[in-house]
Amino acid sequence: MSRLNIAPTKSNQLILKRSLQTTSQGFTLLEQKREILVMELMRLLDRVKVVQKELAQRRQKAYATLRKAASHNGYYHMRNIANGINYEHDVRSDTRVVAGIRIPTLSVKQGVFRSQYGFADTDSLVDQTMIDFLALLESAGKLAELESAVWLLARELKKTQRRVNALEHIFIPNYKDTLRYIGEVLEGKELDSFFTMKMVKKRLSEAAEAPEQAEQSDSDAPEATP
Amino acid sequence: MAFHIIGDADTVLGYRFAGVNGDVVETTEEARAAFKAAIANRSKGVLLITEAVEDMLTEEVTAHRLSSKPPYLAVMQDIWGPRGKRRSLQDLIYEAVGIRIVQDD
Repeated sequence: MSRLNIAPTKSNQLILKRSLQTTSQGFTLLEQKREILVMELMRLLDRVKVVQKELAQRRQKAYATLRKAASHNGYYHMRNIANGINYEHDVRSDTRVVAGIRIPTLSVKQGVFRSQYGFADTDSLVDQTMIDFLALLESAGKLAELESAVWLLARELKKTQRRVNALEHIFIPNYKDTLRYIGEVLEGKELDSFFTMKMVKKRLSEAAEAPEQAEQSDSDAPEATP
Repeated sequence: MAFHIIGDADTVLGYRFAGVNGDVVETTEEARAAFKAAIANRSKGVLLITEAVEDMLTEEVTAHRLSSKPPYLAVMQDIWGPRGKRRSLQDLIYEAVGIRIVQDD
């Protein structure tokens, strides 16, 4: 039982009642937000799994091709070729909003495969390396987008969860306890004042009757005394 | 910078074939400097790092992930094969954020 340090008055009771209402509404909303976030996270994690699998396949293929190409052409030759390669990749980021959180989405526009070196000293493995790594890069971009979204959502989920817990376990019970306390005190006060009023009324009516009695006893007195 | 890679010479060479520029790093200090420079310019691109680099800079990488600012990070395997068992995304999140996301498989 914990209650706020507030004087038990009628106006405070009204204020608290309003606060409790707002808090409960906020709690419901935040809980909905939490559910949405969890659902979104699950969805994203599923997609991450798919992309990771795709990435692993492409990576294995690309790395294997690179190794093969390096062993066929020689490492230094490969380095020379690589230095001359240039692609115009374009990454644009947009935002999409989930439960009030802005999540970045990437749209990757990749350079299209084209031959950028002389045909004479290279074999098809070099071309294949380029194709494979371009494919790998596409998956990597997707993965980067998804993972950053997952981290963002996880952080937001944590924040929301903390707020929901604070409302559920601290604020709402506090308000309820305080309201109960104020209610009890006010009821006690009301009884008190009711009782006092009754007493006053009784005294007043007694006082109203008493002078008559006094007069009567006064008039009676001379007759009685002799 | 649309894509950028930080890793060892051979892995970086591979990505050069897809037109990705990169920093070749060998030591933790080099990796840290390259990583800092890469995240400092905040351009909305994709930053690729190898698992080796991730292991060298665990704290920096986690901090960058939590800040959820661009560039967007993706960890790629080294060309020399996997480096032991990697922790899953769920584990990383549990460690950094404290939320366990359970998936029913």
